[in-house]
Amino acid sequence: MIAPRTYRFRLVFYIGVLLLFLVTALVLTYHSSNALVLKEAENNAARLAQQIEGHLKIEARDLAERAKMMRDNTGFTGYLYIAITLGTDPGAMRELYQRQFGWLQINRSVILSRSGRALIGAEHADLRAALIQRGLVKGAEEHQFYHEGQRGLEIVATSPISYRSQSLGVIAVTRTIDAAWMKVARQMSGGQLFLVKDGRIVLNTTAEGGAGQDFKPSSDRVVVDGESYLVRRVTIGGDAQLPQLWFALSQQELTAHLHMQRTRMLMLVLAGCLGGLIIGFMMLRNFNAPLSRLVKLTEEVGAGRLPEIPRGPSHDEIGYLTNRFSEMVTRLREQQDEVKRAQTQLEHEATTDSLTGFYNRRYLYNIFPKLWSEAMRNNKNQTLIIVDIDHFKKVNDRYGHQVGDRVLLHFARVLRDNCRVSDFLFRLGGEEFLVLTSGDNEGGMHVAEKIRVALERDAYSDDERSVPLTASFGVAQANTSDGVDGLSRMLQRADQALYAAKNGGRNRVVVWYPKREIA
Amino acid sequence: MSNVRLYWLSRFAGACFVILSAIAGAAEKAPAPTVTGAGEHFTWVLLDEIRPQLERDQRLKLSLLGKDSMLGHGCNVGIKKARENRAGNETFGFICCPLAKEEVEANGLTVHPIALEPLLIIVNKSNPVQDIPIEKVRAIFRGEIRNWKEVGGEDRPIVVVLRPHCPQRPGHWKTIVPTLEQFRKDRIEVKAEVEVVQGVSDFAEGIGNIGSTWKFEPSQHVKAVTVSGVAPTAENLRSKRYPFYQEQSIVTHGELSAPLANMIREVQTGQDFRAVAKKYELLPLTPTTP
Repeated sequence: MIAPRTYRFRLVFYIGVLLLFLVTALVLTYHSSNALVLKEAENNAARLAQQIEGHLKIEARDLAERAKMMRDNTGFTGYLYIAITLGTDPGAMRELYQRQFGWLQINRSVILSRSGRALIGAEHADLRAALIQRGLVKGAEEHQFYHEGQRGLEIVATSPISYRSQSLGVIAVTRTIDAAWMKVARQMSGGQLFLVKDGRIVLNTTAEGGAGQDFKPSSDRVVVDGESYLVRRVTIGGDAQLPQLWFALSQQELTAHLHMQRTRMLMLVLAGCLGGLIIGFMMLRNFNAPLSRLVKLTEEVGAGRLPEIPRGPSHDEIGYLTNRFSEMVTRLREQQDEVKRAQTQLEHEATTDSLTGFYNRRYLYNIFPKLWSEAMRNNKNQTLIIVDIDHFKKVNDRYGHQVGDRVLLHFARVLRDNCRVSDFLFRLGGEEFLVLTSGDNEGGMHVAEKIRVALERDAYSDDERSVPLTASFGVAQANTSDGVDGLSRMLQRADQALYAAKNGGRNRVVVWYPKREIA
Repeated sequence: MSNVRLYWLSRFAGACFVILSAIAGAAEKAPAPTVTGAGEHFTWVLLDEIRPQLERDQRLKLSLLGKDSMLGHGCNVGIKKARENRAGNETFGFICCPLAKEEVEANGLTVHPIALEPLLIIVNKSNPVQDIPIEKVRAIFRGEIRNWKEVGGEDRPIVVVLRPHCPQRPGHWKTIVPTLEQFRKDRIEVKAEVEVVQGVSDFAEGIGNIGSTWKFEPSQHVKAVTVSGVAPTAENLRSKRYPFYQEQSIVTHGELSAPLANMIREVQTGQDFRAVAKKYELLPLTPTTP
């Protein structure tokens, strides 16, 4: 769960908004583009149909130019003149025609004399009949018209021919609206073309064929072979008997383009989303992760912990900040260690005797409750041994305090050597010492006796003197009924026992028992 | 003479020899002057055939324009080119018609006659006619005879093909029919000699005329017929038995450079030209030099 108002939250939020925007834009575009494309296609269909009409006019004009080219060739018209006036074999004229005009891009050509005799193209009887029917063989002007003949629908351009101002007849050249022409027109326009006669398809450019099928448009739309087309009629003349030329845009082709565009757009949006996610991930990694780590570190420092912060490269602001923070924490840790060391030293000095190194009375009061409660939990006893060096004042008086201190050190060593490691040794003051040992009175008496004997045997000596030492021991065991006052009662009892040992002649061990009180 | 003098004298003579040789070599390597001629097709054929000999013997470079009259060349171009003659830009023209005195004087021209060339009467190869009497030839071109059966051929209409060039000058086709108005009206009129040959080749009924220097292509289905049993040869021209001909000439303007004058003299009188004239049945108009 990401907490709000954090940078991570904001980053995730912003990226989410970006992705949402992209997806929304895609969805809106997806739903609006279909109608948009179809509407635009309607406009394009009308425009392209006009283009094809223009193309047909250009074709007709080109044909007229070719007819004029023949008309203006005096060599050829001279041959025609001779052939017509002298009735010579037209073979010479046809050979010249082939030499001069065989390369022209026309489908059919017919040259008729004024009497209607075919000098060139006698095999094109339908075209000859159309020229005669239209009265063009004796005409004096150029004409262009559409004709439906043996080869289907044709553009026809005619030109009157003359030689030395003598009218010879007419030249007619044609361009057929055939499959090849329609293929070129399709490539030029990008749509389909249908040549329709009496409501049936005569020719078309679709791959499926469709010739002979019904073609009855309704509201500028028609269905052929199960495919829906948006259609516009191409005007090719006013003759209602002529076939009709229709320009068509396949809705499937249109939508196929649209689907392709949509797929591309979807891929782009997905790529954008992926890019956004990658950028977000990189931002989280580069910005948020170091920030979070820094926040966590500050929390640890705030909680009193001073963790080790590894230094990293500080190319950026966060790295620089982390490294400065690391240095700050390191300095804090060093200062804290210094304080701890000083505190430990103070504690040590406050709880130990500077001469012997034994614990002092204050530490006895600190440690005892803990030891006592632990002993009570473990159902064990604690025993106190108070030791007082006999006649120590005389040593000080006789040898001085320096020797007295050395004697105390010697005594402390003997005491340490004869106690267990687990025993606590205290100097209560002057020549009075205390041993706190686990166990009962018997054990305490045993330890005390061991110390007494060792001390009696090991007198203090140096280069100048030898000082025999003895000590008196008061042993007292704590009772479970003592409760929290166990220490004071034990001290009291041990003092009583020590007092008894002193009174009993010193250099002895006296144990305090509850019933008989002192043994 | 001491040996030292002899030594230096021989050295001096050697140096003089080297210098003179260098001068002579440089003179030899000077570029040959270019002489440009232009005009009608038939004389171009003759000049082009003897061009290597002329360039070699006269030490000039001969540039000839006039291979095909269809390209816009002709007698008028020949006269125009002759008038361009300048020092350093030697030019001359060649024509197929004898010029009128007025035209010669008006243009300041000098006419150098070369040869008479027979005009062949050509018909389609498919035509069985081999000979046409002279008056019938004229009657055909006038349109008085309109069917080949009248001259011993098939029952076909006659198609006359004519190139009415140089209508203001005497000679050439006027040796057949004196004026253009006298020619038959329903004829095929063309603008180049090649179209004359092609027209006769295209029409089985065709008839036309062409100079004897025309080089026929195998694809051109034409043949020359005899006129009143006389073949179009130089000898028959000399004896005036063959009636149709044209006169080939070179025309110049102003002072001629030595190479150009020598070249014209060589064309008129040289042996090389005589050989070519014999080949094409031409009748040279200038006696050969001994």
